[in-house]
Amino acid sequence: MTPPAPFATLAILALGTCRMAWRERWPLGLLGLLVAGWLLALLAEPVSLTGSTQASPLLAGFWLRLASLFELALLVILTISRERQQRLLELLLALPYPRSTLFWGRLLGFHLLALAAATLCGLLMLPLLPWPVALAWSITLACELLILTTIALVLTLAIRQPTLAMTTTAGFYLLARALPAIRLMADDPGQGLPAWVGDGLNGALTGLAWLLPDLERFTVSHWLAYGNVTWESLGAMLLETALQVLLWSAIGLVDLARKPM
Amino acid sequence: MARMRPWRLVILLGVAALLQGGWRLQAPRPEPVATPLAPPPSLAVMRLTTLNDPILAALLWGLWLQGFDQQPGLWLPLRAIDPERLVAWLERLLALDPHGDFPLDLALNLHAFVPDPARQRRMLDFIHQAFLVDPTRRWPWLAQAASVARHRLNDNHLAGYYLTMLDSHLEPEKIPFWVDGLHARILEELGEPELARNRLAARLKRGGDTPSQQRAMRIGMERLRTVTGEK
Repeated sequence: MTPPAPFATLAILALGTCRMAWRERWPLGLLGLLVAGWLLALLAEPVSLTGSTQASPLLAGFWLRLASLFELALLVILTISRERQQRLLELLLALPYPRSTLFWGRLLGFHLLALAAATLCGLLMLPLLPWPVALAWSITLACELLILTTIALVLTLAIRQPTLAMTTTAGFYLLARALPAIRLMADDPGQGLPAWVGDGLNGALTGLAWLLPDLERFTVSHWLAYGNVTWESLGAMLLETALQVLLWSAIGLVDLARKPM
Repeated sequence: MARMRPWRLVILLGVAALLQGGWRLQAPRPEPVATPLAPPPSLAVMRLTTLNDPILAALLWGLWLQGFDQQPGLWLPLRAIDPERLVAWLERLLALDPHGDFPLDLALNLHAFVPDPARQRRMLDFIHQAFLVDPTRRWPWLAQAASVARHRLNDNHLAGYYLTMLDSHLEPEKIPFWVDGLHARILEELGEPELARNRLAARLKRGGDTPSQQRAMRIGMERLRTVTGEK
């Protein structure tokens, strides 16, 4: 039997990933979680005395972002871990195509799901925001989901234990979100640390900042609160997303190549 | 290993449930305790609570501050909240989101309505200080603060001072009709009818108001002319 062409293999793997998500009832769980938080955010508006700041879009945006990130990371980690436990991963690695094809196929499938989740979140934000703001916000969310999906896939392929993979992925995400604030706290001269400890801490944080995405820029709450979208910054976000996906994919491919059969 | 018979398991379950129930029953009922407002955490810590999203942090901490009087099992009177700590919180919220006016709204429309003149003055002073930092954006709040000073504190001098500050930081065209009207009335009550009339005359000359507003100003000027005895 002639093996399928590389692109056909990629498409088969990507569609297989989407089918796995469907079998997991992932769309149902995601929809339930998103709609529940969205309704709660709507209820917050009448009870808040927030001046000109719109409470509902901010709260809904925060919830939709965290919920979709959580659901997607969980899906990546659990499906890949199950494939490994059922020896499917070994079987796929033994098939006559490059290992990178398996990686790209799975990544493409998860990225398609990430884009679907971002679209759903954007649609839920439409009743709360003017459409250009909802569109710009969903693009930033899609970028963040693409980055986190890639990191989760790479870490799950590298770490055999699902709990550890989940903790590490969450750790990377929280660090990427909180790193600027942590660096500000580390810079604070009033913390009473010896100079060498402070310098070491700063060095470590700078190293981490080099590796991790600047997710602070992706969380554009001022767009949601005041509607002042800066389209120019979207270009930088898209570029950073591409660089991050490339970097983490390279890490994942190197790791996959060195794995014994 | 010998299997336990099911009835033994049922007894075990019953004993466990009784022990748990007994444990919970003997525990004292929680008593409501009023918690005073603590000093605000640092800006960096507040940002970290929302994973480094300052605008969301300002909103969530602001909502928490708004509902601080509703504590578990009791309703704390707003006058029990230490005004200095409250202002420290409001300043921190403004620092998190300088474009937002939630802290100004809380100060003016919630805490400045507590019938406690010292607290009301502290809230108005907070609005005044915030105005000085960003007059272009925050002038409507100072205009409202002047109204609160006049109508709730009955302090025309303070209201007049705030309106004079508006004058010195804003172009005359930006000042709304009701603010000029309030200023004229305060000037009149402070024994300066001439200044009040000049103010209305200048506004009338500048134009841009609706016919009914112009008519109201003419009536006011006529009345002030009678007061001053000018022909």
